[in-house]
Amino acid sequence: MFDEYLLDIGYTKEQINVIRNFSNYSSSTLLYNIKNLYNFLKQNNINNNEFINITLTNPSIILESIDNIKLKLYELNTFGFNKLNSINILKTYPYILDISTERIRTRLNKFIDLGFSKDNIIYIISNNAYLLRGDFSSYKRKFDFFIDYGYSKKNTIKIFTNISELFDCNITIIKNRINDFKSIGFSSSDIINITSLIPNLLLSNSNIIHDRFSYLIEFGFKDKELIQIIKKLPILLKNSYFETLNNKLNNLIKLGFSKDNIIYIISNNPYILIYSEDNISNKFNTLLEIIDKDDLIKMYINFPLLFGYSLNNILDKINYYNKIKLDTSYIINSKVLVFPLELIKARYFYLSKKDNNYNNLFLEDYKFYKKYKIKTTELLEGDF
Amino acid sequence: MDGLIRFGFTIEEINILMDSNEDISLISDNSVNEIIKLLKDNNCSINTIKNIFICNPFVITNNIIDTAKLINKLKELGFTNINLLLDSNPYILNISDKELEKLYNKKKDEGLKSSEIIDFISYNNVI
Repeated sequence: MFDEYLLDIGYTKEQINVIRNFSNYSSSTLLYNIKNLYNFLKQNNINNNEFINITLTNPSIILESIDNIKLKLYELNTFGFNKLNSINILKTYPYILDISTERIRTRLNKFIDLGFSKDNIIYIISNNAYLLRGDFSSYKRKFDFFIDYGYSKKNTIKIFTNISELFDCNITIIKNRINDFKSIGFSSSDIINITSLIPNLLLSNSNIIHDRFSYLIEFGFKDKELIQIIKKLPILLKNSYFETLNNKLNNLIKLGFSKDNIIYIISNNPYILIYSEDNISNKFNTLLEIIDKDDLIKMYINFPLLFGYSLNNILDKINYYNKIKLDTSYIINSKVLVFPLELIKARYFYLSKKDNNYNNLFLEDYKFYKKYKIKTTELLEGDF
Repeated sequence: MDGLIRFGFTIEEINILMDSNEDISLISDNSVNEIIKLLKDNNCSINTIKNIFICNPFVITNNIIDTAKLINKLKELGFTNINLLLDSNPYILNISDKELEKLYNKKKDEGLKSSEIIDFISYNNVI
């Protein structure tokens, strides 16, 4: 009866022997318990394979009363774990049943005392239920290491929520990774910024910067330039960005930029590396219809911010400058494209009344005020 | 995404945003509406907001409280036309209020007057 029932569920003969031999209880007692347990867990959507895995991982579950199991699950539900989370915890960490409800409660409260929200804790424990049992003082030491290093509590919580393996990780690994970043040239605050944004770098390979940017180094970027780029835009270290770097640089070459140009513009505006090739090409090709290619490239080099502006923003300005018959050389001197159109229109209106020197349209605000003694707010209100 | 569509972004523009910042797909409409409201409250026009988002798609997923703090710091330091500043330099929204103050003080120590510092930040990618 015992063997047939278990074979029916899907146990192999060897597995049946494990179950039979783990305790001194008779087969009939074990069978009775297994049937009750099986029925209970089946009602909670645990399939046969999962059931087998649970009982083989932690055979003592077979001796637990169903009421006791329900109590443990209820403890989790009271905290905020939904039914699915609780059952998943049981599937992935059957040892939870060896932990008393009081201990579960105490452990969850300890995470709250550290500053984790209930949602964080549910996420962490659902993925790493063994944290309910491990040495909490060791977890706290790692947490405190980050705070002492200079991470804000908010970022520390975010890091540990995203990478809860850090709780269990040897602290020397984290220290070594931080030292690796330091040896490359990042300051402590850079390291905090970068790893707060991309926490899994703390557990990554020590040559990550060079690995991820080997193409850029071959392309011609110097280490120092790369460090500055990463400091300005650490998100480039994320897989989704660095994997496409090759294509993006080739796209810029295809458009007509030289390698030196590309190194210059990206050093000035690393955000270029977040824009897709289509985004950049479409804008470039549309502008090609109204601006000569050499002039357009010159414009982008003079003004790397241009890569980010929406096409409409650029076109509106160019169309207005053409309308007021501004010399093309002013448009190519791309800094003029930085100025907000609203301000340029207001200044043009003002200058057309007071002064014919339209070269002064693009003076920085304080220079314009100094020359004409009129502030931007007055210009925009037309109050002159 | 509905928030962005209702605001006037085309599907193509939303794809551009998501290409640059994959986290946009995780953001709620409520969060999108909050950042749009914050920018509108600072007199940013629809076109300016669109330019800000396209240029700097991280604005959409940045913490709104941090963005509001930054804008308040800009006002405290003497920036009067936040809409014009953000039209010129959308990337400024990625720095913290503390970083802005640090930058401001650094330029002050270099001998720049307040109006010169404001212009420096307005018309240069200081990030």
